[in-house]
Amino acid sequence: MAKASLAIALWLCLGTSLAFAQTNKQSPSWAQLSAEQQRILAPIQGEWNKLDPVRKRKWLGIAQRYPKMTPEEQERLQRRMQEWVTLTPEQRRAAREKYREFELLPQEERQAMRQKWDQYKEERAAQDASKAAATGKPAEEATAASGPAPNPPASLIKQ
Amino acid sequence: MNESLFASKIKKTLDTGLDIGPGAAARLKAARERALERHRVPAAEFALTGRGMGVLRVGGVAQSWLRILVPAACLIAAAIGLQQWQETRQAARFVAQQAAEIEEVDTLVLTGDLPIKAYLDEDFQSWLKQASQ
Repeated sequence: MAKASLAIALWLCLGTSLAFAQTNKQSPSWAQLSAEQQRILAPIQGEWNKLDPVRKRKWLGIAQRYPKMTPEEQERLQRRMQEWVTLTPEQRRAAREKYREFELLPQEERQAMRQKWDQYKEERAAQDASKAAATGKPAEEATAASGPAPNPPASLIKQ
Repeated sequence: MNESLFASKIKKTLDTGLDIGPGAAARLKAARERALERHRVPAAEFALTGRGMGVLRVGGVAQSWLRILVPAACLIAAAIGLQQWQETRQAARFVAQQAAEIEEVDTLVLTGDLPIKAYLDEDFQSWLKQASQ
């Protein structure tokens, strides 16, 4: 019987350590990442240890997809990562929803979206310039006075 | 009867043996075994020995209790362990599922043609609507 008790105790110890190992695997610290993962996720290094297990896992999944991306996509990803992690959860959710909406559009419209965005920005810049000319202030100040249009709407920002 | 005669009678009786039938012999044997069973000192279930510890012996009533309590405690501990393990696995599955869902969309948002600002700019959404009309 003593042997059986010992076996059960050992089994429990093993189970517990496996459970802990599983938890650790789910939420690895920055130091636990591989050199390759650290290189890809470098833009969010400062935020990494604050991320919850779900978000860490998501970023590790993205890092896994990284080698298969085109150089252009890799560059965009690196550039946007920092911006993405500093958004509030509501902003990220809103961006995902908008992305899904855009995905429902016909292909031509989707492909033209970037062009439309550039056009929109040009129009805004022209408007700001004319406002600046009217008020006699530099364009940047006029933009600041009229509100940061391309920035996320205030209603989406938490604080 | 003198002493030597008495001794020779006893010797004779002992040499020939008692005339006991097989039934009586079996009953005597059973009675002897029962008596021995009652007086047997319970064997120690386990003994822990160590330098300066002496010997710990467990037996009797304590032993019967241990026979019930130790396996019961082990079973309870095993059940708790199993439950926790299952909860951990469920949590891991939930995390994996959630992460997979948002990983796909986030990858596309982060690597797509449009900058993140375009998805968050409400004026751009209105501008798009106006432009399409």
